[in-house]
This record gives sequence, C-alpha cells and structure tokens, in this order.
Amino acid sequence: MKDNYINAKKVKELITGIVAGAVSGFLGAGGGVFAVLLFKRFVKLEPQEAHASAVAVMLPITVISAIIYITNGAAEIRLSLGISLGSAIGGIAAGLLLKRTGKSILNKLFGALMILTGIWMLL
Amino acid sequence: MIHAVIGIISGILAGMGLGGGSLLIPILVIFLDVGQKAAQAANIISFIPAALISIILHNKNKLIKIRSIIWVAIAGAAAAAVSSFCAVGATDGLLKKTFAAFLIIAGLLELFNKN
Repeated sequence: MKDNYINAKKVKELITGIVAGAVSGFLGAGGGVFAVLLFKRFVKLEPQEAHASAVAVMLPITVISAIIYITNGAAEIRLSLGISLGSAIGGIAAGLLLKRTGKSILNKLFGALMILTGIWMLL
Repeated sequence: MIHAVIGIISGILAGMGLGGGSLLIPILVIFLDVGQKAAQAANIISFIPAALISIILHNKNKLIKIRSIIWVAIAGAAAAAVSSFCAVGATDGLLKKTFAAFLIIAGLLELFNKN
C-alpha cells in the first residue's frame, strides 16, 4: 500500500516536470504557469510552496534550454543580456514590493491581457 | 537601454508570480521586431539571474521542498532538452502561433483559477 502511494506520487511528480519542461523549452515561457498549477492540484503543495518550488524547478529547465538555444545560434546575446540586467533588478524590486498586494485582482487582469495578446498574435 | 527597462518590468511581474515571459515575449515580438525564437531565448536567459535571486530568498523562508521537487526537476530538464531542440529547428511562424495559443489557454486558467 505504501509502495503504491510512493509510486503514484513519483509518477505525478514526473508528469509535472515533463509538462513544465516541454512547454518551457518549446515556447521559451509558460513552464512556470503549469508547474504552479500542477504543484497545487496534483502534488498538493501549499500555494506559497507551489510558487517557490516552481521557480526552483524552472531554474535547471531554463539552464538546459539556454545552453541549447545559445549553442544553436537561436539567441541574440546582447538583447538577452540587456534584458537579464533589467530582470535581475526587477526581481529584487518584486521581492521588496510584494508583501500582500491584491494578487487575485492582478491575476485576473493579467489573464485577460494574455488572452487579448494571444488573439492579437494569431491574427 | 530600452531592453533593460523592459527587463525590469518583466522581472517585477515574474518575481510577483504573474508570468514575466508572457509579457516580455509579445512586447519584443510586436513592438521591437525581434524574431519569435530570439525573444524566447531572451526570456529563457533573463529568467536565470532573477530565479537565482528569488530561490535564495525562498530557501531562506523554507518554502522550497527539495524532496518533492527533485524528480520534477530531473524530468523537466530532460523534457526541456528535447523541446528546446524542437524549438531551435522550428520556424518563427509556427512558434508564434503555438505561443499565441498558449497565451489564450494560460489567460483562461488565470481568469478562472479560484485561488
């Protein structure tokens, strides 16, 4: 019984990783969205833990992807480094800003923005 | 310079768990005429320093459960290696259409997520 439980858990963890890695590598984004969702619904982590764990899992995923994109000439290095500099500063700012903002409203607004952008890119 | 400013905005969104790349990639592609593949590469690369900083903070707060993420990370890295090679070989047009479809799906998930 205990063995079955452990195996089912491991299968769920492997599926979570495969989905996050496959989406992130092919689209260059979005792995984290699915990782947070699957960590909450599937692996049953608390919301805060799910968010932190998703970032942790996305690090090795993006390192591997970055190596493959760069070595195959798919990256523009100067552009990437400029954005990296800004995003590191933004990451620190977010850590200091985010205590308890109205995240659910921001999430809804951002969701609507994503849908509109997606439709725009399709047209 | 404009790239660093865009990076700051997407870094703030990423750090607040709002999905920085979902914003960064369309901005680069629609407004700055960057190719879809190069925009994806820029997002992947710029995630690394931001992630390192926030992982240190999250780990201090004991929010990262190593035992429940180790297999996720291993499976994720393997899947990412395969899908990155697919992306490198794909055309910008195909990647852009797939990315647009992803944005619509992820947007719907955000809108109807009860948490």
